[in-house]
Amino acid sequence: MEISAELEKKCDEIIARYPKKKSAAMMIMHLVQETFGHFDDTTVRFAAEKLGVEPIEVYGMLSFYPMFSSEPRGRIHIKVCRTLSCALAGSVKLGHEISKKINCPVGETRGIYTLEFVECLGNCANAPNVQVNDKLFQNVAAEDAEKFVEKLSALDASGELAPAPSSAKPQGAGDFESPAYKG
Amino acid sequence: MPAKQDRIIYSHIGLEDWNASIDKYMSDGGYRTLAETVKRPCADLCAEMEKSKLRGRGGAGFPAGMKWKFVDRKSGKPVYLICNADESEPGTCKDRLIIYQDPHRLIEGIMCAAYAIGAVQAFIYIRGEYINGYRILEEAIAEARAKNFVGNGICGSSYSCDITVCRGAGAYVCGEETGLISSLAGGRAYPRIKPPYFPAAMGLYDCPTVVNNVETLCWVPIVFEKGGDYVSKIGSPLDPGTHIWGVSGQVQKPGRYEIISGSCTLGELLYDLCGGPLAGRRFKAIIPGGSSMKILRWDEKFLLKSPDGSEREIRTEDIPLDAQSFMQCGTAIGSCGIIVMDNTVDMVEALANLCQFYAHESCGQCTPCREGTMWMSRIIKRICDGWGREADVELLQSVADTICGKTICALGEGAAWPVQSNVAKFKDEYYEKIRRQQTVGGQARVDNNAYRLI
Repeated sequence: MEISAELEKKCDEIIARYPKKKSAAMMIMHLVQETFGHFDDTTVRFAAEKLGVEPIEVYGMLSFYPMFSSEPRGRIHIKVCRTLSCALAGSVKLGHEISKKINCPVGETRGIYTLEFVECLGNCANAPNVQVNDKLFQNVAAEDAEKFVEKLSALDASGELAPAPSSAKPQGAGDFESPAYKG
Repeated sequence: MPAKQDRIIYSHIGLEDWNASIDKYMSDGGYRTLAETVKRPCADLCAEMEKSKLRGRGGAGFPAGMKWKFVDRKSGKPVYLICNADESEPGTCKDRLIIYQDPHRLIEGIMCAAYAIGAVQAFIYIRGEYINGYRILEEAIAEARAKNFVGNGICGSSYSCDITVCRGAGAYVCGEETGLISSLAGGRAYPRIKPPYFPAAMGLYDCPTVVNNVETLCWVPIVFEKGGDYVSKIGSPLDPGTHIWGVSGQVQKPGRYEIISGSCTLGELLYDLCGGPLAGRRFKAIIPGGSSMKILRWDEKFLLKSPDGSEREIRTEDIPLDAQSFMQCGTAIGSCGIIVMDNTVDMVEALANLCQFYAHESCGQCTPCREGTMWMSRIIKRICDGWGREADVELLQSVADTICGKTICALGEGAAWPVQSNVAKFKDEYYEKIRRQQTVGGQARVDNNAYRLI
């Protein structure tokens, strides 16, 4: 993986926001993962060098935080919330239904898809929740698994599902959620 | 009197013509309090906060004014303010809407608090899953910086303080303040032991640090504008202000409801505002304050002491919505995330779901928590899969008892409390499940259940 001058510059900008270099670790790791999709030896060493730490510290964080990965993941990365509020609304069944429809076992990568169960996505009142790349889909009923997968394919074909970097402008009212909450 | 919402923190949420821009926020009087605040002495502001008697809204319910008071100002070290936006307690989803729809309310709160405690730098630690929330905050901070509400010379004063937003990456333990500090310092989110690592004395970079929840910080401008006395008179005297109840699970209308502390009961919230149970079902149990709090049976009875000392017997649905009342019922309001379960729910499965969560989220530092959460999860999964033994019920309880009080942070208790309370209050269901599977055979439960939760 090639480290571009542009990436170096972006890293330096992030590091400048923190009183100590090492504090930028989370944001630098997010940037590296957004750039390359996952971590390998080269990118871990690059991040460590930027942060002024030993590579083992970056490996330590890589294995600790669930959002960082050392494995390449599919273009459509589906995370189904499995924690209680979503589970009560049928998310476990939803996950298995999606798995059948896209022909990808839970916790694995097949072709363009990666499918996994994740812990609480923080939107419990609109369960079940599914995060796909950087977008959140709420109130996805298990019965609608097929329609949901079709919707993902359509969004993927039109390019709307492609993840934007975290430094991008806010994406509309907020992901693919239903309109502003009325309560 | 039917329950009603009183929106103070959520006053802008969901309004037809509202958006997250600074112009909107200023058109509703936004940032006026900040401009007044930077003209006042810090000591007065901290005194107002203490007078307000507000409790932190992150889950522990520690008085916010006290937290500020403990900041070590004599050390000469810089003081930091961290906004905890790592909302990850299952059942809790209140801060999300503030960040997504009203970010300037939070930013004004952060700047007012930063000035009052004399912070040199403020941070927002937002959970990794709120990617768009991160973008919204960054844009809002840039807008505020352009108008001198953040950065150098705030509102023409000599006070300067910038806000840096840091993203988490999916670890629940980052919501624990010392774990958050470890993560923000760059590294694994390992909580640190108190003492000596009380953030007010030894926080970020071992400097005095205040860590406040999003909702707590949103209260700060209100306290500064209207005065601590005014806020202390809203709702229950020992737990003033409003609570934003995030109701999820099996009710007609799950959602976020902002209610004045103690102004209505749990039953009024769940029936009047949330529309009651799903058609043809009955409530069975609720978890009152995010998954770590002890569960309540819907048919339980409690003795509630009134301020005048008299006692009365109440049912679960009569519990007033404030911190003191829930404490008297042996649980806590935590972060106000109510998870509702009805009569179709298999309590063993529900607990198995939570045990799996804690086993996944334990940071691994303390042996009782690392091993205990994993074993609880395995034992209860064994029961759910149809291989349970009667002794497993006692075993679960003994593992939970062994975790409590023997860990660095509260994640240990957070994992043990649901197990202790769930097993104690629904013991019959556990034995019933094990017995049935022993008579019908190994995989009995898998066929007998409408749906699985793990």
